[in-house]
Amino acid sequence: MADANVALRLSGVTKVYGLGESTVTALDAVDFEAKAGEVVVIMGPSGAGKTTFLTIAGTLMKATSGTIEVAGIETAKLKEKELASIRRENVGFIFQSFNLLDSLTALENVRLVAAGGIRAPASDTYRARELLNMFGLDERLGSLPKQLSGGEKQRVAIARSLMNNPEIILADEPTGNLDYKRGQEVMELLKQIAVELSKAVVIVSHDHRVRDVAHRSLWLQDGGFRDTIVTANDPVCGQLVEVESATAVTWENTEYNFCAGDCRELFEGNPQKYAKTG
Amino acid sequence: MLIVARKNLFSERVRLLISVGGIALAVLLITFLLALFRGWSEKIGGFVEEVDADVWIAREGTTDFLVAASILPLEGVEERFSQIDSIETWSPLIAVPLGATSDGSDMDVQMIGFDPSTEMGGPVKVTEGESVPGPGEVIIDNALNRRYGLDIGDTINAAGTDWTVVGRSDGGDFVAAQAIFVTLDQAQEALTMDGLATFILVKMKDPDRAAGFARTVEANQPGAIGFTSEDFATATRDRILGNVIPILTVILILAFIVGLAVSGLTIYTATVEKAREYGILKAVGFTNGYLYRVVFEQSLVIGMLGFLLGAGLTVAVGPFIQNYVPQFVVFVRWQDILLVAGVTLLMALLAAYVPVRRLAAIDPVAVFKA
Repeated sequence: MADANVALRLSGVTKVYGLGESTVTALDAVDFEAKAGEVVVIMGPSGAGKTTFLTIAGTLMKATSGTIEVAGIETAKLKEKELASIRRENVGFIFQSFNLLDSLTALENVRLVAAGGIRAPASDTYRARELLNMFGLDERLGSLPKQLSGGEKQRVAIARSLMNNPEIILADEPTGNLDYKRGQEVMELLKQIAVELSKAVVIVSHDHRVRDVAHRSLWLQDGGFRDTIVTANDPVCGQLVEVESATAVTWENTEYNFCAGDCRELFEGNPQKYAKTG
Repeated sequence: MLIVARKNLFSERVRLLISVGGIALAVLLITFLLALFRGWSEKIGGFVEEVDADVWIAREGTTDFLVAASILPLEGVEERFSQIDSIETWSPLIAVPLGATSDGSDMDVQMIGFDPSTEMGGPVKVTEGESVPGPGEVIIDNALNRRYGLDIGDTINAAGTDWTVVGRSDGGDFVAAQAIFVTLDQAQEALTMDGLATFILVKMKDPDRAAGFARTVEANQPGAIGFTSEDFATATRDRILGNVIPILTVILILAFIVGLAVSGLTIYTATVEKAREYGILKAVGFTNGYLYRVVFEQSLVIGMLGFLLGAGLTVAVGPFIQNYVPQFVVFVRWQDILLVAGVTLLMALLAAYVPVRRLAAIDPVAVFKA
């Protein structure tokens, strides 16, 4: 029997790009569930299929095979117009680069997604204002995105993602363009949203700090989720890498793991500079 | 209007000005050309229509009023017409294009000699001075006053005779030439056309029988041709404007293309620049239909503003230009304004067509790239 708390479910989802000999399998029979009230972080090396996973889960891209249920709705056979409706009503998106509309104020950016942007009844304005107030932006309602700091922009984007009260929040590298402090604030906010508003929050990230606020962390690699992994931070770029598959260098009796050859070469050129951050 | 369309449009004021300016210029050009055409058409054919005659009889081969080489003998006409019951009255008319001079200025005039007893073919509307000229006297069209400053009391030399201006009238401006009215016998004397006329004007008791009478003239009077007043006015317009219409058409098409290109390019570049934002809208659940509406609304508003500006300038500026350039005769009809509104709408829809196709191709997945 299906768990009523499951907001997002992917079963046996495969995504293959290309045709013939040049095919690339980005996701290989992936199973995934996210429940209301939990924060799930998906990590993995570049090119592991994290964004593919997120876009398929968000009904922006069709899977080659498998089923995707968003808020209990099976999406495989839906038409584009119906998928758009699901994205608007049941899914909230948060992007690394905020993706606010430049010519709209913070309030307008949030209010826009309600009712398909056709009209803005007073109730929409009230809700948008309430969300922005909740995120400490009550003084910035009339500000354009260019007048906001990175942290403020991301909070506006989070408010926008909640405007239609969706069951699922999908966040792509939400701290990618923020400094440490702002990143921490945003992550705490996302956890608060999951717990207090009972949303399923799925975060794709390279940032290992994200794990601190997550209820579950998953490692995506080679098109599938890996259960048990040992990770380390690349001392050069800070990216989380899987120790087993990473290229490693030992310096002063300590092993350092790298995401790519470029980082390893930089390290070897000046190990004193990077070693203490590893 | 959708908020995204409104904000996109009005947040880029320079682009908006360029777009609206492009459409306005095109609309201005189109409405001016149409108004000019209507003005010329009104002037050129208007006099013939205003003359209180139902049938114009001329020498066979005559095509129009302004460049008529018609010469008709008047001998026996009275006798023949007196036997036709359907004729109410008739009158001979002389109309000859001439070069004239006054106070050192050369001018093109249409000397019209009319019978003062019937006043058929005389000045359409006398605005100042005498309504019937005496011997050696002439009534001039007001356009000669505007162009050359000719006024009552001045002298004008035409057909080797000095004429004193005794009146001014409206309705005799043929754009390239203007009417000067003298009596028939004075015209016959000056032009050595004793017993001759250019046209014979006939007024029927029943105007509906004009066409039949015109056909009868052609059938029974060798060397003569009859026109209804309406046909003769049309023939005069066609003769003069026939050569202008193809040129006007080409300029109208060019104006349309210029307006379309300016608005299309600005809307296209605005759409391309905002491609990421349209991708964001798609990603967060907006349909292609909504995005199309955003672009179409922007295009329609640009078209509407351009139309209002262009048409408004035509109505406001046209009469002023006419004061300085008398040949610039504009006559703005509401039907033409409506036509230009339709053309502008077409321009706006076409300008949005390519950007809309571009929108359909935007992949919302691209917004996940930082």
